[in-house]
Amino acid sequence: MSGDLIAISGFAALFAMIILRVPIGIAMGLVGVGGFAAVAGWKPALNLLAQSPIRTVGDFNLTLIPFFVLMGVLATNSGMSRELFRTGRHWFGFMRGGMAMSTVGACAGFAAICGSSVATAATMTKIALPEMKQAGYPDDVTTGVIAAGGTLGILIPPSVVLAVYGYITEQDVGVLFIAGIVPGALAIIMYMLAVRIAYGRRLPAGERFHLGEAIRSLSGVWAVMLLFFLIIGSIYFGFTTATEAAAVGSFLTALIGILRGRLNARRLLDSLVEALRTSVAIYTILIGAILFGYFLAITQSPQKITAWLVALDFGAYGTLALILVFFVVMGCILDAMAMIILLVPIVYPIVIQLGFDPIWFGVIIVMTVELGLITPPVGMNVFVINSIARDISLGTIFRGVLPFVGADIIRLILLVLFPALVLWLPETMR
Amino acid sequence: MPGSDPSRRAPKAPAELPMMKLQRILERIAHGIEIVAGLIMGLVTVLVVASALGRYLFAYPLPDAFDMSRLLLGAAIMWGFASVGYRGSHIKVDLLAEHLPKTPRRWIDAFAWSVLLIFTLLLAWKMFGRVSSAAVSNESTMDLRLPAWPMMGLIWLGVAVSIPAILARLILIVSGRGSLDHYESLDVKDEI
Repeated sequence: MSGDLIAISGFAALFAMIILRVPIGIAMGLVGVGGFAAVAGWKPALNLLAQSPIRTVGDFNLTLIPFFVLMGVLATNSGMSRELFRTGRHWFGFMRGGMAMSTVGACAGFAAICGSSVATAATMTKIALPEMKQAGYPDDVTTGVIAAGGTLGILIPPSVVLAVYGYITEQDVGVLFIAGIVPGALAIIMYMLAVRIAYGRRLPAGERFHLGEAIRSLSGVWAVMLLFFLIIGSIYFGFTTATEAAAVGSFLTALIGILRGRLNARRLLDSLVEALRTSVAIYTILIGAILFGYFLAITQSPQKITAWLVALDFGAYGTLALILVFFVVMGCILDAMAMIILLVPIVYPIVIQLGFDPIWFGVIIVMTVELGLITPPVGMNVFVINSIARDISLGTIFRGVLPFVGADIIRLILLVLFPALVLWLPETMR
Repeated sequence: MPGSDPSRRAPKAPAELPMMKLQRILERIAHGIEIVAGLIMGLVTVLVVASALGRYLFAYPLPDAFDMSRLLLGAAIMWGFASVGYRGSHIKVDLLAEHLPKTPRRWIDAFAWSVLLIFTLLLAWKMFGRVSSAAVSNESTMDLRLPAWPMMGLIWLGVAVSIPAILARLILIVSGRGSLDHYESLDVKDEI
């Protein structure tokens, strides 16, 4: 069988297995080993199984993933999100639609200690949704704001998806985190503007502003601020590696939770189990992705795809647009993490050959994946909100997120046109 | 809603009772494994923090913290693999299955978990070879020169335990007593 035929058969088998509910990591692993065997023989292919998975689970560089996952779970279980929402309400509540803006702010604050978009959306649904409903916000606005605000978890550091991107592309995770700060801040501003511009008069009037109460409310969010500045500050100034920052972050989140009486032994144990389950799911895909990488290497698929795309002569930005559209389409089938692990090894060499910066591309691709969290048919954040707020239909939520999808696309175009918005802050580290 | 639970409406047939009992036992074992693996993960977190503090404050990192933390975490992950294999909560695409009637969905689930079982069998077989070679070649940790194979063996044991765990879920699927639609599936994806 020719190399091209093996590659095409491999991809076909992969997507067939994925659609037939085979765990994504396992499908990738089997195609990786099988495809490698088709080219190099069974003995070297099976030897990959002896070496690669044990090396992956024992890779120290990957330990930051379970640590950041644990930190997010601990932050969720110790109720830090409620205080963020309350503080946001005190500061933004005086404006028309202020509670929706508070929700965006609270999502951003929670994203600063939790690297998961769906966890952010799930947590904020429980806290912000009842209060917004009570204040008279329409259902589409309420759920749209929460679904979109939740996506900030994937971009604002620490981000588990950015960490995985860094691992796959051998980029410094710390630099990637710092690169996510300005686009994250831009997202907050644009989401707040989207609330006002898109929903305008439909929003309830604001509440009275009390400066004293607003200042006092800041005392409730000291833990979040401390954790964020400690982690990002230590990475930015080079005091710790991203892995150490992740371990210290999860340890401190647990300690703060225990000292404030929010975490007891039972909740701590539940958090560990929850973080373990999530980490296992991520590691399984990583094990499969690394095996799949051998298949890609031996069939030279990325090089062939690169040559084909370059021959199309769309120019660098045309090819980039094609890649981003491909990611948006794949977002209809795959979830964010799977997409990054499966597709980045294929498109990364293309992007580098076109002369784009790998750190900048990391942020751009994570933002594109972020879109998949709120667009149909998968729209994970939308499903999570729907699973908690059963009385609000999926159609209503998807309608509610539309202005934020528009804001995301504008932000994406801005960052493509002005890469300095992403790269300026990381460059000050060097 | 308790009233909607079919198991409460009518008494179970005598043949069903041992199966339910077995399912409860399996559930407890899976949860027990998760607790131990979760605690190991907590221990690794403390180990990395202690080592980082030791290095920055006293210029003395804990010896072997690097190897111990990565291998222990590897063990926790592979033991967790067993539990996730039993619960059916790996990351997977549900788009097609969710739109199918019960019977074809069951066959899709059975196919998916059979593939997982085959992969895990191959993994256990080949990984055992890797652990054996580490024992024969006296592979050791960096600082204290401790043999690495017991820790690697612990990782392998997680894979080995995954085989009956995945098989149990497969039997539950084929016999119509379980599926891959469990809420745990959403739990796992939620946090990513």
